[in-house]
Amino acid sequence: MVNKMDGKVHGSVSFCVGFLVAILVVALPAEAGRRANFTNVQDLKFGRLVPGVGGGTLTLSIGGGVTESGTVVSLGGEQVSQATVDSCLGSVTTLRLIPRDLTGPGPAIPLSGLTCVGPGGVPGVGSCVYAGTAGVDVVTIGGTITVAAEPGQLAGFYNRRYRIRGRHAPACP
Amino acid sequence: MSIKKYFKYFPLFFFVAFIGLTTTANAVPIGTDAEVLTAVTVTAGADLDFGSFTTAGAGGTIDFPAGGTISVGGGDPVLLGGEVGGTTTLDTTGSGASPITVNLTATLLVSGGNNMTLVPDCLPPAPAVLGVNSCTFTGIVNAAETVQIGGTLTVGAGQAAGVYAGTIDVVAGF
Repeated sequence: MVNKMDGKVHGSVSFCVGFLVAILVVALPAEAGRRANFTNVQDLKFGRLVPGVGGGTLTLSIGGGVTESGTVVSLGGEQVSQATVDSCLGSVTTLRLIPRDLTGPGPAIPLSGLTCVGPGGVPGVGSCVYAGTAGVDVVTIGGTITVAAEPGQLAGFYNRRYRIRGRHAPACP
Repeated sequence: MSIKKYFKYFPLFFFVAFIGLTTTANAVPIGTDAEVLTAVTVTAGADLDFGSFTTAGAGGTIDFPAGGTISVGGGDPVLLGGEVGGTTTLDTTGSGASPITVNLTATLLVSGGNNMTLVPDCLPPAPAVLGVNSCTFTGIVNAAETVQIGGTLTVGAGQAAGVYAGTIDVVAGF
């Protein structure tokens, strides 16, 4: 619209620009892939342990191996965590692990070093990436707990739920 | 259109754009757990004492099973009394009602340059099953439990007279 008095174009142009920007922003891909759908197969279990007079850590590797530090003695019952993830060929899956401290009768037991690996992928601490397959992938998770010394770390059962998130990129059909 | 009208519509444009950028990742909770146990402490109770006995020189064995009565297992020892069964007390607080194994290691009973061999055994509270060199039972949380200690003594041929003494190491664990 042109103002016949001074030849300048006014507000209708600004309106169009703003609306156009909004359209472009909305049209841009908001995320690089759809979310991954998980099914929990088995929980992460550190089994039975004795902290000892110094406490320490107990690490459960994704291969199922157990490593103790300090005066911690493992008494068995460990189990890596596993979950299934829907997948597709040509897509890259990224997983992110969110630890949470275990709670029980005594001081909270920190959970750290959550490590995951997907089929054919490289293990990663906190997150991992792997190329998707044509079906359902099995991911394995390990981690480390830190227990205080006796008698501070009271005997009993400690538990919590950690969280796993994932995305496929590009999106699976 | 004036500048005022431009800013009137701008928030609407921004809101529409913002909706397109917001997504929610799928987060799945997975359980993790651990069972903490407290080490079992062991306290010595009554000493194991086979009392007094004689031998004509052939030697033999004397059986004094944990929680049982003393008897001659074989050979020529003659019992004269004074025997006392051994005991040890275990604090099973924090054991989580887990199986506890008591392991025994006996030294030689020595008197001067002479010695006799002792093979220890133990009788736990429950299940009350006698075990040679070790015994296992299910601990009770927050309890002091007594384990009976006994054994079999081998008296050698021509065993010299004297007061023989030794020790039994008791180690309890899960």
